[in-house]
Amino acid sequence: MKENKIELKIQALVDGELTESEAEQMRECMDNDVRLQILYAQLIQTKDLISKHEMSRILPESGDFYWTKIAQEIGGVEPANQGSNNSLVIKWLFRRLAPLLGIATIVLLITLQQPSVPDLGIEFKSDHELELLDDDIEVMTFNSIDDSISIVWLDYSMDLQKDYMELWLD
Amino acid sequence: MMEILSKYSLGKFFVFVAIWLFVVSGVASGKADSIEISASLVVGTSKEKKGSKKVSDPIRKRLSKVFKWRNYYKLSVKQLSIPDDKTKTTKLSKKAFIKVNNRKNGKISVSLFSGAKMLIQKSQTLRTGSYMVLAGDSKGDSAWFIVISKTN
Repeated sequence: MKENKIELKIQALVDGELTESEAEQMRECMDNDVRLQILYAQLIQTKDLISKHEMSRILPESGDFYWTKIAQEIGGVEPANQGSNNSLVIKWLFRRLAPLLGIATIVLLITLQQPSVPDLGIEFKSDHELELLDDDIEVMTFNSIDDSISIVWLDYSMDLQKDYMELWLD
Repeated sequence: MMEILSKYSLGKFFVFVAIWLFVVSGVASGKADSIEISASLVVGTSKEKKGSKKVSDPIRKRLSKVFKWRNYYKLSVKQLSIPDDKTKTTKLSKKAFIKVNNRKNGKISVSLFSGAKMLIQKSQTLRTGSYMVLAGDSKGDSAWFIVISKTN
């Protein structure tokens, strides 16, 4: 833990973030420790490499304005934390109200489905039964849409000539 | 005294009305148990036969909508009054006859026979003003139709 602190201080020394006295103190520490000297040399080397090879980035606006925007965005996140309290309330309400809303929806659907179908004056009867005793006779059926006439056409010829004669001789 | 008499006669009157209603309802229900059926043998033809008995306009219109023939003549008409659960038979032509069974609540079952051979049995609820038709070919350019309707 202590070593980690010293390493961080060396990093700060490399970055020029220490006060003069702190820097002097760190140099004294490094004089007595080869490992710290190596670390310091590596960090200096790395810093040099980065500074030489880092691509320069041009800000789209002035530096102040750029950072102000970042600060505003960070500020915008905070209200979201406040909003989380509201969302908890909404969630709690939803948990309580969801079953009630579900029941109300089912009741509404049942109520809406119950009204009788508008009477269009058309009756559909489906109690027609047909029994054919001779398989050789083909049958066709016709029912009018209002069931006012149902016709069974049999492929069966009936000679009505004699009946005709009687009728027309009357 | 008058009050007692009036009360007594009023009581008698109500008893009389009750008996009368009971009898009338019994008669009415007795009548409702029978179904009145009209069965006609009809020939459909393209030829016109003057002086022949034409079918009624409702039947002609309904048949003309379905079949090619324009002229429909009655060969025979039979009226049947059939009590509930009873069957009646009627002859419509030399060979053809029908058996009609009253299956209650307006439902009938019609069996068509040609000679001794039963051809078909059709059952349905028949409303007043609706028709059950059994039909088939006949000799020449004509067809036979048995038109059954409820008349009560």
